[in-house]
Amino acid sequence: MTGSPLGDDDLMVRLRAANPIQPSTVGAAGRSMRGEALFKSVLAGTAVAPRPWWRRRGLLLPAAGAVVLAAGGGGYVAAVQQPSQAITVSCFAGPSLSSYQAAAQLGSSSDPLAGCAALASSGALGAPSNSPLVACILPSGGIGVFPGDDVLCTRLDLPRALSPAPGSQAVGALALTLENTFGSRCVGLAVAERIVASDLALGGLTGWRVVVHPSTSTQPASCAVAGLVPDTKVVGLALAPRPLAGGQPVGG
Amino acid sequence: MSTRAPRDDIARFRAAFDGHYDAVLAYVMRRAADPDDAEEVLSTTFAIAWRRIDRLPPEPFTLTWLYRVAWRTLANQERGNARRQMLARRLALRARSSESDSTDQEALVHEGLARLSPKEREVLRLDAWEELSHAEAAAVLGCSPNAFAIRLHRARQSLRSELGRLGATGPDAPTPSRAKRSKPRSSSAKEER
Repeated sequence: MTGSPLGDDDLMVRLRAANPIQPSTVGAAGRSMRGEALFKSVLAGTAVAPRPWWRRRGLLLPAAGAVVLAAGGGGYVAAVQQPSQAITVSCFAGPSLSSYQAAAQLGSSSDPLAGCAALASSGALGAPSNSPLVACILPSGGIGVFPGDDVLCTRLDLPRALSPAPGSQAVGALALTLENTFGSRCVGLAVAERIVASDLALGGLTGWRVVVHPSTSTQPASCAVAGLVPDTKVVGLALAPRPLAGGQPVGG
Repeated sequence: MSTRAPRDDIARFRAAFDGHYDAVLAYVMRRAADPDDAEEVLSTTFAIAWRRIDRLPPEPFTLTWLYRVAWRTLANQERGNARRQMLARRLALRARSSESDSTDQEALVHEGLARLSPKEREVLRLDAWEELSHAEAAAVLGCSPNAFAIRLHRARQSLRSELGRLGATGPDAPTPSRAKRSKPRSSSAKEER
């Protein structure tokens, strides 16, 4: 290809041609049933939550593996996540997203549980209550505080918000690192084990162990996936069908 | 702490949702890595709009506010997906190399965009894809229209450089067929809207 550098008009033509959704097609088919369903779910407070990090590509545990690992390690689905930014705290009156009552902006160093407990005991959320509270990460990234116990977040399909504790930030960072690593690369179990060991050392996470789950996949080109169990300090590794087309396992 | 007055809020939210669902859906689909991500960002955007209904601006400012929320949500999502997207993009570019010339040209533009900073990328997309005026695009990005115009100028220069590196020059280079359907408006014409 030869020619002069692109002018503004030519650049605009090319940019518009590369628009994946052309303006002329927007709304052409009318509002779908899905749109109406979304509207209702937003009002009900049950709009699709972001896929928790352990369910995103590269961190999907094969079902059989998850069962075995759960039995041995305390449950890979009981994962926790550090909120990226604690901005809005929503205090819920009941153990469901539809019971939303009040929200406030709190600094990241504030304790959302204490704030909502004060609100609940004052009666601002209904009848005064001193029920135990649990903090989960909402789809918006904010923190939701509900009356309930530790398993409530899992039941609501939300990650549990950790109260600031030594090492918890490092665990959150490890989860992100592993997601990025195994989400973008297809590696075998042996290589994955070395990567995790290295990431644990780099994150200063001592006392953690790596549990490799034997392969249950019958597909020839499977890639390692990882799951975290912070409570028992275990990183589980298993094989799953490769997440990206074209990736070939490296080593392992 | 604040409590809600649901009835009026529902009516306001219904109006915003009905009026802008299609545009926000298109905005998100143009930028998300895959349909799952798009759905996630779309629902999060409207969930935030509902939760902050007291801050939802009136028309005609609602759409740019929703774009802004969607943009921030996408930015959070992209941070975690950056490496995966880079690999997926390269694979897609390689796979497209054997396809038609116009697709190849579009892939080059996408690759060029991907090499820009997120803000430069967004400036160009708001201008060319959402076809917003400078004032509207500035509202999405939280800057002044003048600042947007400067950013747009710089972003165009950056994209031009990247496309040059990728071997795309003009006007001798083949023009994508779809581009012939829509004639670009000049920036000054946009400002008049």
